[in-house]
Amino acid sequence: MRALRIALLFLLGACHMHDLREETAALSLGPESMAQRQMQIRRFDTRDEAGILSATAALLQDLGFTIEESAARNGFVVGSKDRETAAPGQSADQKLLAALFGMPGGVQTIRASIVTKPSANAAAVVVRVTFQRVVWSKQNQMPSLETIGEPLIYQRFFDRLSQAVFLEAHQI
Amino acid sequence: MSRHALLLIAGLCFLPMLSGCQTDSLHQVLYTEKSQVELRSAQTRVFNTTDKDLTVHNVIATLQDLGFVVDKVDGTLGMVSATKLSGYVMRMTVTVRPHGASQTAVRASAQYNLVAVSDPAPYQQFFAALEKAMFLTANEID
Repeated sequence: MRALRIALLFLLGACHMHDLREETAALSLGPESMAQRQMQIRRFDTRDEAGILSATAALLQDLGFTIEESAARNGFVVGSKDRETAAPGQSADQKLLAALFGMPGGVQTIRASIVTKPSANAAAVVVRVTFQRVVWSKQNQMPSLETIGEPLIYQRFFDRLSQAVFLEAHQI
Repeated sequence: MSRHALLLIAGLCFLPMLSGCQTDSLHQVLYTEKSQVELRSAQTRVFNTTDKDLTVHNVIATLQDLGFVVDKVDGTLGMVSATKLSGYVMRMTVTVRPHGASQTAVRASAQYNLVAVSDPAPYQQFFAALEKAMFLTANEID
């Protein structure tokens, strides 16, 4: 991850100028932040925070992530995986067709960061997951850098976590 | 003077410039755009609470609200590092430590792509967001 980050910075440094407005915008709460929070958070009715965190780490492993860091005391685990941009299960022929029709393949690094904490009344555990990815297209030199904002991805992640801990995931 | 000799002289003239490049790049190791006092003032706020764990939790929640993905957390030292990818790379480290008997100091330092963020304005935005999470006023450090 560190090598990736340095490579990214090298590329970005070449084409981005220092801009105070952009820096300020990057640290300002946007109008979309509330909706994003709701998408990224679920509440589980249990007091077993360590159990939830452990199940989360196991789910990350199920999904092919490598755990990079964890801090149980703070309810934190982060993992990443490198994958092709082609949809899983795509055959070599399909990949060739996609390339022929101007949809070149590429590689991506996906990161998942999960933070758990007791709810305000300590009767439940609140889980927040955030996904981000760097996509390197074979055509473009510049990678695409993004926080994943598709609600379905988060919904499915929490569905899987819910099944793993035999508890319903409540929206907050 | 032959052409070769001219080239040699020209090359010798460029040599100090090349070595200058290398020295300049080493300057980055200890370089800061602003003085230590100015930086600390822009990057630090104190909150009227002694609850370090809660402050760390609120820092994490604020970073997540701002679109960061948390990279590292050390509750003992009160340190959180996070990265935001949104067409740029912004990296941030936030430290939480006791400040006197009744306050907690929070210091944030960020880099935007290849540049250290040293202007107060971006930090003001960060602390405004943290204030909301803390339900406490962020006071400038003395």
